Amino acid sequence: MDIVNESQKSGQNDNMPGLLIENLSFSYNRGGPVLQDISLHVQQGEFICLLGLSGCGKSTLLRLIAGLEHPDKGRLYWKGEPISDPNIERGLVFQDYSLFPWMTVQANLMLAIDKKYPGTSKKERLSYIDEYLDLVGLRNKGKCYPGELSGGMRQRAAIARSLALGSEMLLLDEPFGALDPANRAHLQDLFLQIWSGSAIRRTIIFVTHDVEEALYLGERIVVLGSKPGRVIADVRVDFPHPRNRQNLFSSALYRKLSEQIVDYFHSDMENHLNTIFTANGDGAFI
Amino acid sequence: MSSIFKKNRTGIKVELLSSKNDYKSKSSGKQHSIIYNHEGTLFFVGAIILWHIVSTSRILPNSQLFPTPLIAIRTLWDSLPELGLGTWSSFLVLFPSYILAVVSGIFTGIIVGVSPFLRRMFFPFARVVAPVPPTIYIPYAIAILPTFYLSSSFVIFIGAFWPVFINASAGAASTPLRYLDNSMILGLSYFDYLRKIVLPASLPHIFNGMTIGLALSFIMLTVAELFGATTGLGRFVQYYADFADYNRMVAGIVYTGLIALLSMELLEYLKQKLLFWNK
Repeated sequence: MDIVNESQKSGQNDNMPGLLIENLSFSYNRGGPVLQDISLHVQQGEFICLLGLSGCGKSTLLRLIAGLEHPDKGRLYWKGEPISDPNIERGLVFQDYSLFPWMTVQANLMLAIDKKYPGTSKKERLSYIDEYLDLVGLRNKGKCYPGELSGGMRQRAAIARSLALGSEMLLLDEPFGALDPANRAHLQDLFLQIWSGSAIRRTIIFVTHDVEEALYLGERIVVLGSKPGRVIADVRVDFPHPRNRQNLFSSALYRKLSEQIVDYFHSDMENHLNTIFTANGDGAFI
Repeated sequence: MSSIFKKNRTGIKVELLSSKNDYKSKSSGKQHSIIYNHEGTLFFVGAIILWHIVSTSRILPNSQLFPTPLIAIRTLWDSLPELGLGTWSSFLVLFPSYILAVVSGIFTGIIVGVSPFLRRMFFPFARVVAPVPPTIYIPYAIAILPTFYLSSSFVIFIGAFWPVFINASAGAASTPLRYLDNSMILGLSYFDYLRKIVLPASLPHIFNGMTIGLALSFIMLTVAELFGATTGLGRFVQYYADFADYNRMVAGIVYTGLIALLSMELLEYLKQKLLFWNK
């Protein structure tokens, strides 16, 4: 029973349509546009990092992809089908509140397993749970409550639950953002290992504000500008997987890319400030 | 008696008994629970000694009205069989109606709380009706309902229902958005969402309502028994009032207090068991 391979039935195909976002705009009930005219094409099996500063709307974009919010304008498609509501094909992991605190880790995973394997016996479902917990190294923590676990373990359990859902696309909203650096590095490696270890790769959209994390994890980095959120750059990260942290961080390409990305942010901020000053009738800036 | 001071099991009590924000305790930096435990016991002992002094001294015009603590305890002991029977008949009225109020309050509260439409529909009504002091229904309930059992059950139900309903609906209405998000991502059915997510998430609110409801139930019960019961705790006190037997009256009051305290502590224990995850 190989759960990693079993969750995807069709063969891998780079040309399969994955996620398609067309001219998407979004704003909350009150206030200005949060996202403006975003177009993005993600192939199946791609590992994308959505990189942006705090408040740029990257989490909102993720919620739109998940189907938790609906766009004002534009369309979203997953495998050619329009996205209208949340679906277990698209799992979502939040920063630190994915698990229900009144349920054991096992019961939390059971919610996903019940959905994925309806009609199987309790014993069978428990063995599935054990396998997913094994995958993230939490086998003996099934009976624990989230409050009894460290932040890192909770995120591992949350990842196990979204894997157990059998989603072909995983959306992660700064999942390691609240962890200390050592734990964070450990979970990044674990996550990459699970992702690249699967026979058929899941599509990953990983939201982060950390350039280093984006470069280490992503095959492609989509940089979002702020106010309103829009795509300001689409950077391909041509390091082969599996990656070696040391080699990657000391390479010239890494330095080049990170400088490039910081430049994008910088000019985006400058543009933003310029528009504010121009709008106030005061053309002089700096 | 000093059980609530012995262990700081409840979050609120810990805060009340040893707040870290106390100006003086900051400098001492010691564990407070033990100190407060002694202080609590000290106060009890002091209060009982004071009671004894006052009731044996000649300050009071009529010492008949104020039995000493020793006499009160002895009378309490002597009356235990009678009080026990009274407790039994009181609880036969109290618990079925309290439990019915809790169950229906949670059920309706959650249904109304999660739906903006039902909230708009029922909240104005609840806001008008809930603050009516439930004791005011007692004479009317006794008049319109055929038996004392029914009328007292009814007023206890009214007393306990509103606090539970209001707190359950407030809890359900304020279910954190993240729980809804996670439930939708997991594809839970609406029924499962209510049962597995909204209900436990509202439990802290619900227990607040149940505590208020239980306290009110005791008030409703004893008041109703003063009016028209033939047995029960309230009846015990009322009955001996007619004979001017103040020893038994005081014993009955102390005993009723103890029973109410015990019930509240039991509820508190249940709360701690069920809300272990809520910090």
